Amino acid sequence: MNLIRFNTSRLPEPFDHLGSFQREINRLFDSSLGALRDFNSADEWTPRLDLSHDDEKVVVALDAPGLSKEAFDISLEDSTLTISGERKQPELAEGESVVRRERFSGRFTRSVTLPPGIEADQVSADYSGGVLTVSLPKPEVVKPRRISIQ
Amino acid sequence: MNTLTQKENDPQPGGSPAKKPESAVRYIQPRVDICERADDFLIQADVPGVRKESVEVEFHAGELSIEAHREAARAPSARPSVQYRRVFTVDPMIDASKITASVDHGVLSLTLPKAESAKPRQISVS
Repeated sequence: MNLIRFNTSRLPEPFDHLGSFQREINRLFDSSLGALRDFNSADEWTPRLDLSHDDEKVVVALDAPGLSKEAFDISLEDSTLTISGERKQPELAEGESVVRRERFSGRFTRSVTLPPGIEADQVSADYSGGVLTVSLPKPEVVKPRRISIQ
Repeated sequence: MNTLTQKENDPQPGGSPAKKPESAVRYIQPRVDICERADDFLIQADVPGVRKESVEVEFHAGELSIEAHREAARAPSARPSVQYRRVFTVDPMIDASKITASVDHGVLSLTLPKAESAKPRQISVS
């Protein structure tokens, strides 16, 4: 059995590891929460959208109250309908203060994929009561046909 | 200072606090902004699809309730009808007889004037 001189400097400090471990955890949280913050950014919102259709047309209804109709941008490209727009946060005048702010503001974009063949010039849109309704007539080929038996 | 406190303890604004699966009505607690100004409070609530005829604003015993109904959409849309509801406890400094309401582009705006005695006053030094 060898006799080794007791040397404190060679002993591992029990909390050394913990320190670096803690740093690692912090780093992990900083980065992932940072990403989450970006994702949850206050200037993005997702208005509710309903999609429905019958034999004649596809109807998209978007709840977007408090905009003007000029604030919407509607486009149809490769059977994808994209509606985007912006609701500006009301600016506070002198002497005004916020008591509660729950309503969303900022930019939004919603896209829906539609059956192919819809003619862009047949699409109509209407904004009333804070609901944007886009009507897209179905192309002839997609409409159901009654086939009589000979 | 908690002048306009939410009365009902519903889980989430914008959500469906009292969902009744057996009926085709969607219950929504509208999201609101409240702003205090020198002479009044402005409450703005998102109630898309509501017409002004179907809005009821009631003030009773210090409570302000907002109720609005949205009809189910016609075919082909399967949008269910929506019942918007929210209740606030209002500070006594509000002059309840002068509350006004309007609906524009699916936003319900309520103006709650402060009573004369509650308004800030400039007092001149003599």
